[in-house]
Amino acid sequence: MAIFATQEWLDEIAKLLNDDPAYAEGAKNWEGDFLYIIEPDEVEPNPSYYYMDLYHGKCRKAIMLKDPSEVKAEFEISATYSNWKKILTGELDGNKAMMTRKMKFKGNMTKVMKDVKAGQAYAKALALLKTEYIK
Amino acid sequence: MWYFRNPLIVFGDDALEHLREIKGKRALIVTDAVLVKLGFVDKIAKELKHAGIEHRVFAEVEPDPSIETVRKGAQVALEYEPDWLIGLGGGSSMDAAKMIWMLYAQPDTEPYAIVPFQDYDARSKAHMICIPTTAGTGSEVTWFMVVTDTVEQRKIAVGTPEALPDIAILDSRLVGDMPKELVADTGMDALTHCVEGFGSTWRTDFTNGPALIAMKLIFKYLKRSYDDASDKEAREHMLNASALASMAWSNGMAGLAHNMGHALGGFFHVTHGRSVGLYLPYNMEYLAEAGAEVFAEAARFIGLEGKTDLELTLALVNGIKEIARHLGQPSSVKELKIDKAAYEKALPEMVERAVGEVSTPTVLRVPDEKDMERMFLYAYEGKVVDF
Repeated sequence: MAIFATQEWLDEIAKLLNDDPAYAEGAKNWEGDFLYIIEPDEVEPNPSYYYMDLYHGKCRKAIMLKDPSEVKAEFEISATYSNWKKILTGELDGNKAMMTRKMKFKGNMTKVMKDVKAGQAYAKALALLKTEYIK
Repeated sequence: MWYFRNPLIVFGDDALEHLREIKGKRALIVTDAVLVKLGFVDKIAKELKHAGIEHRVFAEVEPDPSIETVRKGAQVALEYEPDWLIGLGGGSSMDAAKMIWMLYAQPDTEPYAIVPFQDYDARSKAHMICIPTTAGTGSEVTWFMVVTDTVEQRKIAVGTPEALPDIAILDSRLVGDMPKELVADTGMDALTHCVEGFGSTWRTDFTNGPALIAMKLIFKYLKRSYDDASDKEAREHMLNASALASMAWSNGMAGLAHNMGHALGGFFHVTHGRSVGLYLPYNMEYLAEAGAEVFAEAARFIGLEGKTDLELTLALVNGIKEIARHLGQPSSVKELKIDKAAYEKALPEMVERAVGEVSTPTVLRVPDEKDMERMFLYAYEGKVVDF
């Protein structure tokens, strides 16, 4: 089990997505890359960043970043460490997190709303991920 | 953290008079040509005159309003610069009015891109009043909007809390002349709203109350409202039930009947209420075991009988079927005279759209594509869902 927001953890996510035929099918039309921002809070005072490039049902790249300016991603998703943990453990529904602004999203919403299926396939695949949290 | 959002609700058989109290300069009334012809717009205009508010009418809303129509309406708003928008009519007119409001505030926004977590600053331009003339859509109390992409033959359901009307005026005089078919179609929509809102995994104490009261009112008054247009008590309670039902689902989530109904409506142009009402019993049969505890609570509340939770749930399903039969609603897709080959041709896309709707993961038993396809097929033939 990999530790949240480490390169090892991202490698596991990439493998999970790339080995999952349901994700390949569900996200077959999706092209888009994401910058994820883990904002500091009282639990984790230091921010961290990672990047994922999702392309036609595959994860082409998943890397930790030292600085968010290293990439120019089409979409940006941010939340505090504690809220990421709640979302990934299922304690907080992702849709509700966005609606209550606990998770923020930037990017072309038309593109996302036209391919809800890809988002659902991604969430379903990630539900199988086991993550360790050090905080 | 969660929310229960609601407009100011003005109700009763003189509720339109509240329009005399509003402050402003110009109102744009968004409606359809039939309501202009029937004199409904004149009633609104008369009240606005008391308030010293001038008005203009955009009466081009069609059933299942298109993106082109709402863009045209937004252009009218941009030229007229109203400080109030008034959505007058059924769900189509009220949804169109809300969308026009959003596009008036943000003309460059794509309807597809309206989402709950972005700012549109709509109230810097105008405020919104919705006045329903049917008893079923409940759009007057929700922040959701359904418009049709005619190019992709697709209904798109979007929403933002900013699109919640400021005021909902439920004047029972406006639903007194509703034709029977409209009472039936919209009534089935209201029934679906409260059942789905109550059966959502996003249900809360605040949505359960309105859902249960709406269900009880609909079981008591929908048939009466359909049978006798002069039954003012039934028509008024159905108007109230419609708003309560929508408070329940819109502060929680809708469910599978809406997802399947939207897909069917996009391809075959079946009215919204008729299509969602048709699929509701099939969905409930699918959810019966997983949702027995929840649905049994509703069944008990409205006075149905059964020895176990499952029996009570099935009594609720049968009660819904009985109401639908009474209203002359189709009990299968086949009865809608939709060609089976055309239905099967559209099936893969309908399944994909229904599974892909945002409320699918929030039902008590989440179907995969295979189960969704089977539900569509069982509903075509009128078979009891036994899987």
